[in-house]
Amino acid sequence: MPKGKHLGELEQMVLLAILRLEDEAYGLNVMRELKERAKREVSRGALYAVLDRLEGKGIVVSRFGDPTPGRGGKPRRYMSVTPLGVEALQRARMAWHSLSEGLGEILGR
Amino acid sequence: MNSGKEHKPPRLASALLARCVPPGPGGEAILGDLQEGFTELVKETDGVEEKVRDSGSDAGGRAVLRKARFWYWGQALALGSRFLLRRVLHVRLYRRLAPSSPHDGRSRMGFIGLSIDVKFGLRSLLRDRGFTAIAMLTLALGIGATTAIFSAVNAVLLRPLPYHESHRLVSIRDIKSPQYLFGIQVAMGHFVEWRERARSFDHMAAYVSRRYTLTGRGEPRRLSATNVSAGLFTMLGIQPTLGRDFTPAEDQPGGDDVVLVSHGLWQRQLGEDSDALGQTLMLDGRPHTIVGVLPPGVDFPESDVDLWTPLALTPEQRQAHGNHLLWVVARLKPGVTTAQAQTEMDGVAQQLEAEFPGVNTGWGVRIEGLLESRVGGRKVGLWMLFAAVGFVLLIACANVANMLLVRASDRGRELAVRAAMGARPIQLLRPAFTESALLGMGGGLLGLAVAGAGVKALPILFPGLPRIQEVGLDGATLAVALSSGVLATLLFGTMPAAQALRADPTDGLKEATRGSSSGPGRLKLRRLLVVAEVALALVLLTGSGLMVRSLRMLQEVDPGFKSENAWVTQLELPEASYAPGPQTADFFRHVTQGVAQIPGVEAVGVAFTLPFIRDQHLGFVIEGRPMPRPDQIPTVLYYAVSHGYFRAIGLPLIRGRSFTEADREDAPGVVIINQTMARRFFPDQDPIGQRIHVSNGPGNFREIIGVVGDVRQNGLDDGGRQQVYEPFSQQVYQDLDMWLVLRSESDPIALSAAVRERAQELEGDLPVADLTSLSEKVDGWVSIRRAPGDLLTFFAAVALFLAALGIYGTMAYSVARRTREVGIRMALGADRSDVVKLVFREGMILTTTGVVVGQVMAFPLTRLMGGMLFGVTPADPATLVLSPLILVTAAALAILIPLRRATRVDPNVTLRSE
Repeated sequence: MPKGKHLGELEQMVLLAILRLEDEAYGLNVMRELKERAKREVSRGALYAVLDRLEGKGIVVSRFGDPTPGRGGKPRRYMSVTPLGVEALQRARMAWHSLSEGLGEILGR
Repeated sequence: MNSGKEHKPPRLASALLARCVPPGPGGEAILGDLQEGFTELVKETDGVEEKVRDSGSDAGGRAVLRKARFWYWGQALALGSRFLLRRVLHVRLYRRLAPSSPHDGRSRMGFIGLSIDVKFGLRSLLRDRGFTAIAMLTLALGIGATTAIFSAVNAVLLRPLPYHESHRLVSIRDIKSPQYLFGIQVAMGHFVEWRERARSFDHMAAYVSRRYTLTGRGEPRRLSATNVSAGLFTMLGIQPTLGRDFTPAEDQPGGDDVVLVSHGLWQRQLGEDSDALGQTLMLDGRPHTIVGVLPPGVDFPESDVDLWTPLALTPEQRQAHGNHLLWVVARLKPGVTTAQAQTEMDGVAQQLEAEFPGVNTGWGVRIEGLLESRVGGRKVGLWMLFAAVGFVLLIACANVANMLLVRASDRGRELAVRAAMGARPIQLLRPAFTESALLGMGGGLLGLAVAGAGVKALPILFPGLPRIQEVGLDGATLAVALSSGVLATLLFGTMPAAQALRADPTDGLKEATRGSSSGPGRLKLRRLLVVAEVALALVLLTGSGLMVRSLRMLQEVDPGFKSENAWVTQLELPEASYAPGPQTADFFRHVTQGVAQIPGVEAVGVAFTLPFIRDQHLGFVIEGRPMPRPDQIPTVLYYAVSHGYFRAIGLPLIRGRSFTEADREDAPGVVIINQTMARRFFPDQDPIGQRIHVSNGPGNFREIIGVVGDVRQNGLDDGGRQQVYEPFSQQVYQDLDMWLVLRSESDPIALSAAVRERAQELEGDLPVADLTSLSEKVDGWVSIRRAPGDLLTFFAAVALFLAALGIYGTMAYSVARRTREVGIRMALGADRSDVVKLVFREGMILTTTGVVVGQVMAFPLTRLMGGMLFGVTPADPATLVLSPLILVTAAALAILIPLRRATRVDPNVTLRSE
């Protein structure tokens, strides 16, 4: 498997957040989701870097919404996960499962 | 603040960020996210604010808003620097320098190689904290000063005026050779004729400033106003926020009791009432109907105008070609150039000369861009300062390049080893380049902070500079700061890098084993840099030397009157209840009598014009001499004064007698002239008893009864003018506003109150401003001229310091490199004095070379300053000798430290270390 297909931890989290948010997955919301669900505070710069990287790998695609008020007329960039991304997540999950199997005592249920 | 209102994030921060993020919707979305976050934060604060307001304080809400803005700034800076780093380094460096770099096949984001370089660079900069701090501060100073001065240049000289298509707006003036070469106000008749005849303009408008007393709304107040012709605001593209511009019908006598008010006045006096339209204001006792409210920030013709009323020229005024009162602006038709309009107007002026001979003889027209006409004489000074900071920046860059060269040579061995092992040039070059880029950006960011502080200081440094209040850090300024950062990086980054490329690895390895680490080429480059620094510093020193000498000369000039303890205030009688003539003369006579009785007042007088405040030019003829041609009538500065004026202002009587109480309307006409006029027009005869006629009024000759000293009317550099004084009660046109001058050592506040009381005993509604001191006017005049000189001196001092630092660094390095040589020489019997000579000579050769180059450069550059100098020529011997002397002394001091180190060399230790 090429190295590029491996996902880092933050990448995984971002992808999951995008999937959860469905139609509302744009930068600020992804940040909120990460903070609320994963208690993970991520800097804007880091988040945009991750998003660009994921898009470069073809794991997410983005489209721009209509300009909305409260944003100075600037559009939102909505993200969605491509089948390639879903596949990568599945792989990561499988890896996690098979590696954590039998470690219930240490990791907890 | 209320919760319904949308709060905008800090403009500067978002502008900054907008320039850093990638262009296109992707960048927009990032900005949008941040703004949304900001809006949310403010909404939370609004909740808080609601509560705070209920408890009766607004401060809490403001504090939270401040916090939100602070948050935005932090986010914008963090994000911006990240994107900037990405863009500047990734795109500029990698795309161009390393087209076949292995990173290229990867995504746009893959800049791992670069981030390693950046990390490496950061680490090495952090290791050498001293070096990094000095280099960054040097750069920050250079970039900050350049940015601050550029922002002034930009706001004052470059940015278009805030009017619609302002490049098509021109100012038109009357000119006459030789007195009014640069143009004065326009005769009312000229304006009328021009408007009918000229075809080059879409619209032509005229205005004149005046003042009104507003009554019927609380305390009577003096308001500053401008009479404008109809359509002026439409021409400028200014739309009233309420109501409309004046109509042509209102620009006629009889229809002109209408007024446009400023946004400020609308707020202060009308309570921001949207029903203000149709209300009346009592101006000079006449009701005026409000027809419009102008938007905030309208500063036509200057800031702080409260209201505008129609010009409404009377039929007599429309035919008056003599009195030059109006300022004229016009909009060129699209495609018409200023030069074409000038040609047409020259023709119109010739027609007028032919049709109205005498009064129009010799008069012409001058057209120039409106912006040009506003900033006029201040241009040279600002560009000079900009050039000066540019020099400081260059010196700063040279210094940092010098420091980097030292580092590069320290790294010589490492580079040699890497090159020997097959590293490609690009790989050798990258770390050095990254490091200088980091320094450049750090310096740029710090420089922004310096610029921010500098920009705040500008209005204090340049009081009275047009548009200086508009100076701020904006997009253009930021671009300059960033590009000077990048430019600096290129300047000082390429040199060490180029050196690294050119170095022959075997040399490096050989040198490395010898314990010395620098090739001769590198030292040559460093010397070249020092010579350049010295040369630039000398140019600045020479420039500032000239300015300082010029100011010294100016300050020694005697204005001709005694400004200490002389106090002035303006008394303006309302037009509604006074007419020029005996009644007005009586009023001012009584006021002076009343003020004279105030305890502590030594002398008091009134005058229509005052030195440093207001002047009046009139033509004159001498009885018994041939009548000159109309265009050759000599002019004088004309003063209508009361008899106490000369004592009050401290102007000495040289010959004859002064005016007395008896020189009234019905007494024989008398005048007093000044020394220059006596010398120029009565060289071989006694002027006393001669008779002259000053053209203001019908031809009645008046006898010269005395001669007084010369007064510098419009500034300390305004000497050698002929001046004529008349008793104010004898002048034909009496004015309703006069200046009161009094001499006293009493407390000005108590004096002001006493003067006001005396004046209001005579005229109840008369507003009387506090007394101001005449010294203040003179000092203010000096301080305006002082600011550029002071700044230039400051820049020269910085340049001197940086150049000395450069000499020190180079010499210290050279000495360290030659420790072995010195040790061997001393072991072979060389004296310490020989060593001193050796080192000193090297340093001095560098310095004097720089001085010579600098002198050559300074010669044409200081010539450009000629117009700003007073009593000093650009070839001032004292300056030309002193500046190099200062520089050489500083250089000698800088050499001293490395010199001591060289003489302390112990030959035993040095030789053993080999």
